[in-house]
Amino acid sequence: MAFLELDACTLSFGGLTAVRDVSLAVDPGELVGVIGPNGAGKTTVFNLITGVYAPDRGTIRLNGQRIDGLAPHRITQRGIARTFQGIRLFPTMSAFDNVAVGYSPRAGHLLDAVLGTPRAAETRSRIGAECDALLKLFDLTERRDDAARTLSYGAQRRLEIARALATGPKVLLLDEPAAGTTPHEKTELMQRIRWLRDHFGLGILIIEHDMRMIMEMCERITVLDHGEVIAGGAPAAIRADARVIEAYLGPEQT
Amino acid sequence: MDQLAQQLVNGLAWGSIYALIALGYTMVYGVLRLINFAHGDVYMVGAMSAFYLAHALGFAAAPSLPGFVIVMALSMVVCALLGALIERAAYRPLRRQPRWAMLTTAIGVSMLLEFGGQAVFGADPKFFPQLIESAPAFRIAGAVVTNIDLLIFTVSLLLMLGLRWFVYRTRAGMALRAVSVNVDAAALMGINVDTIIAMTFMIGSALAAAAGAMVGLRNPKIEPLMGLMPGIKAFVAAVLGGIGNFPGAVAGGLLMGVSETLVAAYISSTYRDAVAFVILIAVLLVRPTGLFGSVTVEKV
Amino acid sequence: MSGLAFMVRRNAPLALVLVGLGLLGVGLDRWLNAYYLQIVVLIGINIILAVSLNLINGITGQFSLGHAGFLAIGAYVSAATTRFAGLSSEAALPVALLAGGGAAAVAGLAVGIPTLRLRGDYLAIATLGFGEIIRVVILNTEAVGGARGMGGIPILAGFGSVYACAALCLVMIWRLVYSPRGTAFFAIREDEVAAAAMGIDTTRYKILAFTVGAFWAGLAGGLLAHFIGYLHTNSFTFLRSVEIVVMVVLGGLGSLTGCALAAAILTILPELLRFGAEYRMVIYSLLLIAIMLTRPSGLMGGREISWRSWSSTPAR
Repeated sequence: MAFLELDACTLSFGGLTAVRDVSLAVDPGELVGVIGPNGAGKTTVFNLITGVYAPDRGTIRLNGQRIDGLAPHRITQRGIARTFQGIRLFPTMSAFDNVAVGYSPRAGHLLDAVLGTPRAAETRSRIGAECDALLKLFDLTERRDDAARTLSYGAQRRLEIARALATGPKVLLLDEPAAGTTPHEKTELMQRIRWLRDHFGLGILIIEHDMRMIMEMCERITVLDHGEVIAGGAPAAIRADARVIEAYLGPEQT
Repeated sequence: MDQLAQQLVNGLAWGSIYALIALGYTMVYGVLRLINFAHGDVYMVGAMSAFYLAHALGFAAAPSLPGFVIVMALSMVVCALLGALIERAAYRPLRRQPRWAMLTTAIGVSMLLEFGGQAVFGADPKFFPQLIESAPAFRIAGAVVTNIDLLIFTVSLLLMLGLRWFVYRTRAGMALRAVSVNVDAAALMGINVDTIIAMTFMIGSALAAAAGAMVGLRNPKIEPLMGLMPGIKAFVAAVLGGIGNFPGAVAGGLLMGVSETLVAAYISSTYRDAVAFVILIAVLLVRPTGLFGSVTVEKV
Repeated sequence: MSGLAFMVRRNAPLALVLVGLGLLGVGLDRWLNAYYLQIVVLIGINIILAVSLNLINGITGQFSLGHAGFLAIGAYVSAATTRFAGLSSEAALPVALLAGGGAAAVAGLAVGIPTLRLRGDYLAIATLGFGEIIRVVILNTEAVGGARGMGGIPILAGFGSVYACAALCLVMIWRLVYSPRGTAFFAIREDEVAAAAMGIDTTRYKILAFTVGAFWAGLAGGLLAHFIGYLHTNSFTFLRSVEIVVMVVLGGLGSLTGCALAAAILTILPELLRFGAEYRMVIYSLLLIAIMLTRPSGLMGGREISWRSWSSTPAR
């Protein structure tokens, strides 16, 4: 059984079935891509995993335990972190503080802070150091004290990933991390993602539209269309799959 | 049983007033997502301007129905202009700011109208001229419906039907509905959003003015703070019906009027004002979208 | 060094300040002109109110318009404690204050929990409603004087106690939010969905903000009751809530030092405007509108007057 496993999940909004019978698996150290045309349900799958929605049918398990139906913050505490399709940073907070938020649930007790105990001081310096380390990892040290909304687009995308990492996840969900970035930034991003996988042993699930990135980085790819899984497997197989081609390019005209 | 019917008539009369004011709240919330705190005070200005107009135009000395109608219509114009002014000066500059900014400004405008009213009109109550002498019009189920109450019902109904015709049968009304659903998309379709919003304020304020003038006729004691409680009650009525929903505002207003009248009659008159707050809390906790409102889900 | 020694060293400056305030208070209570003393004490009380509301509104982003309700509960409960227990010595003050603050905290819980799901405007209206309900209930409670008000409250509070509490309030809330864990409060204000995605239990933090904010407002109420000696619900209307909101907005939502400064300014202002008589409140409303139109970010723009803070403070 895989570390993160979706089993035949279905979700409907009123009369519209957004996701139907979707199964997915990710293990630590794996890079799995999720692709499909717009509206295929990719972000919805992310929202199911992270607890924004609960599936109408089917189960989601993390390390054998069911997480479907749990509140989002509980799921994050169990080790799943995400970035958002439209960047959702904390706009007026500094880059440093954005990352610090990721650590906050595990940052000691508020009572210690109020009383000014030595434990509080130790927590402050420890977490401060970890935040700075993460910022350095993502080339954001220079922008440490700048408000998140003043950062360049590429920097914001990097900050979102840094913030997600601060939560100490075992599985990382990246929703279109390369959207709107330059080719140079994309190459850097690919290197960074691979490095994260190797260094932290993370399982990484990526939604992307850039086919080159997906084909180069991912070991496995799952293809969604109209809420259903239409193909899954190694990049080479996906590239040649007739249904995938049809989903993206339309049916063959004869 | 006679008493119940009479109370119902009273309740519906007040309910019609609340409905007219509630429509203004709901319209503005629909296009701006703003709770216009100052709206209840526009209703007060409506009553006050009707008062002064009645005296200035000589109708106070020579009461008549047409006289009242003219006075009411003119005060509607006055308040429409006031509404447009408020929107242009106090709310439009803040459209791109966080929500609490416009809300706080609305509170400021409300305070300005109240305290300004006290300074300009004098804090003492005035007595609205008896432009129509109250007389029983007919009896129904043992209750007496006066000519004034009949006027209130008729005028309210006509205004509401007129609004409905406007919103659903004219292009401007369609534009209003479009702006209520999605401001940016409406702008992209070529709708002049600024004009539509200004128009919304003008219509809402005119309705409030009509309510104010009619209240002056029914309960002649008017003063600068008279908009406070009816404003809150009408707002609760709008929330009860589903904020942004026009029929809901009307239903909410009537329900509010009837329930508070019945509570005052059968339980205790000191709790009359509390009814609004109880309904408010109940609605917000049980069904925040109101009776007829629809739930909007945030896309993640 | 040992934990206790560390804490003593860490809190020493605060202790010194408290002692200093106490000594200063003894002098001022005795020799300062009663009119000026009242203004100065009122500033202190308003500082507590503004800072506590800022925690709820400015920092956690829950726009509450019912703060006067918590103030009222604290005032009446603490007054009832000394009046009905027949206590009149200065030592009774802390007990009364804690009783008032505690009662208000419970009310904060009662208001915060049901309103959790509400956003923006709806939350504002709900808190307004709760504030009014509290006022009306007190108004109809004969045991505490009802419409006649409550008099005969022993005068136990003065400059020293008020400013000592203000200092404690400011320090406590400062330490609360400017700590690694405290960034969560700001995060909830910025983006609740993203905050939850970062593992933050937004519900708990929101309730905590309401409870702590309400506690201090209630404590301030107790100070007010035992300084003036008389209470009437007319002092706890929606207008009072608005006045506190204006202090927070003027100082800059989220800036603790800013709203303290604004509290001082806005307490003195009505006194300066006394010449205007009936135009006083008109000027006040115009001022509010003007601030919102020209500089909604307030005096401090969300920053703190600070030379040292753990992290980068929220920049604007």
